[in-house]
Amino acid sequence: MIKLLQPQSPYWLGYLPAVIWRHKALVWTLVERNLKTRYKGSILGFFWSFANPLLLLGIYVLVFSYYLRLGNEVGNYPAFLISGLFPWICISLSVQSGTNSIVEGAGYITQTVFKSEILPIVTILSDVTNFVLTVPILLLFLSLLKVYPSAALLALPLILAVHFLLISGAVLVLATYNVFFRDIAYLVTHVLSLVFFALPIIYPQGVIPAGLRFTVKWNPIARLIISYQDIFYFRRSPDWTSLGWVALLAVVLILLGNCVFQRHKDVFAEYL
Amino acid sequence: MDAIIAEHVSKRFRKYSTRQRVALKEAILHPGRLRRAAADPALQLTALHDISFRIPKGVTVGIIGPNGSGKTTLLKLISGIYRADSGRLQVFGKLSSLLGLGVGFHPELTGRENIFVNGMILGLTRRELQSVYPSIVEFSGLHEFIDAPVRTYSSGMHVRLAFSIAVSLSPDIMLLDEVLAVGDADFQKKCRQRMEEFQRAGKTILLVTHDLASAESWCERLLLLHRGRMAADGNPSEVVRYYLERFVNQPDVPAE
Repeated sequence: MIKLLQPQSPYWLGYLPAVIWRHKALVWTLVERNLKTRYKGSILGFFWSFANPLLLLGIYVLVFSYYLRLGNEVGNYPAFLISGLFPWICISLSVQSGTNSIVEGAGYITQTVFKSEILPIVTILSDVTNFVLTVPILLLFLSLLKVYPSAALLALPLILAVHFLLISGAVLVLATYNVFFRDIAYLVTHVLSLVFFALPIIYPQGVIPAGLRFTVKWNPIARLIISYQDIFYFRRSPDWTSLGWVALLAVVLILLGNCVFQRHKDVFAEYL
Repeated sequence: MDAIIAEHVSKRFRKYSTRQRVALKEAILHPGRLRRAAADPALQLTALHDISFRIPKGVTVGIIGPNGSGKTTLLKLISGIYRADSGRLQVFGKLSSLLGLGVGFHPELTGRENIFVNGMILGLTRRELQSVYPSIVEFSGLHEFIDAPVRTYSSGMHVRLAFSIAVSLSPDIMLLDEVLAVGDADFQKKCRQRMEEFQRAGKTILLVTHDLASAESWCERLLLLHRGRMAADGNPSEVVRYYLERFVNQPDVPAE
């Protein structure tokens, strides 16, 4: 516990931000490289980063709105769906790539003297930045569906910040254990596909039976998704108290994740 | 003045089979048990055992020995990639290792972009890179290809680019692992010239090699490792002769 309070200890809350700040040029260079190379060699390039949510959108609209008539619960089902789907795809991708970041960055860790904390942070930042770049396209589609941008969008940077912190905390733990047990990455992929159905993305919160509302209430990812839906679809500011709780949880998770990471990072080079 | 001091350094690795047997559940529920298993000597492989030496500043030292004798492990300990299990290692001065040759290279990026990515991973700032960039390109001899994606490079060109970045770092201590055999004859000549410049500039060089002739001609001193132990340390020609007599010409001792 004392360790948490000593500024020079790597277990201290300020350690991770300090490392990132000291290596900010490197972090940015790597994020830039990831974004530049992500779609290189593909003809449609950046298009693919929103092609996937749009294809899913088409299928979900057909199944849930047309076949199952779930759309009647929401005014503008395609717009509602897309408002939650874009952020979810970003979250899901960054959890997966973050979990693999240390294993995939084996070269950096086994061949150079490298602050390994940088790797998960870089992958998450790359995915979040990629998401930010797709936001104009999301807004364009929403406008085509007659949901126009509003002042509520000003809350976007704040939601993104909470999003980044929450995912970073979780990924620090997952990436660490994935070095020792590569099963974690597979597990994460499957858990994420289940989590998707526990989130009010393809259905509105209103259809959840009262007895099961806790699945959304106590789920920080659901809170994040709802915040995104608030600003994109409902054109209102997010629930600040709710977002505040998620932010607090995220900070606790980062503190915990950083402890797990620091405890094991010295032996990463031997297991990669 | 010493550049590197090693005192009774030992490094052990967990044997591969024991890593596989550890269950995920075990690790989560009983982290203590995992640590105790890791400390069991029967499940460990001693990569380096009680290694001690001092390398004075400005000296070129070679490390030779059969495969698996611990040469690369020693370099990784000195460079800080691995932590020693016991003993003490001190390094005085800025250190650069050619272990990180081409780390972070992306095939789709151009030579120029990769110079910046790799250079920053190796610890240079963007500004430093901008100033050494012309000399990196000059050294690599890849002027006309520098704006082409690295995937279009031949493997020789790839290594030349990586090597050129690494030698531009101007460290006080240089760790080289089997790199004198890089590129064509012309590039090798350049590398040798650069090494001579380093030596003249009073830099410390630590060189791992299997090329006994170049080890003998290049180094002022040789360390011979055998199964993780220091088998000899001293005058290059004597150490090479000892190595050949003791480990290479003996049929019962596995040599490479």
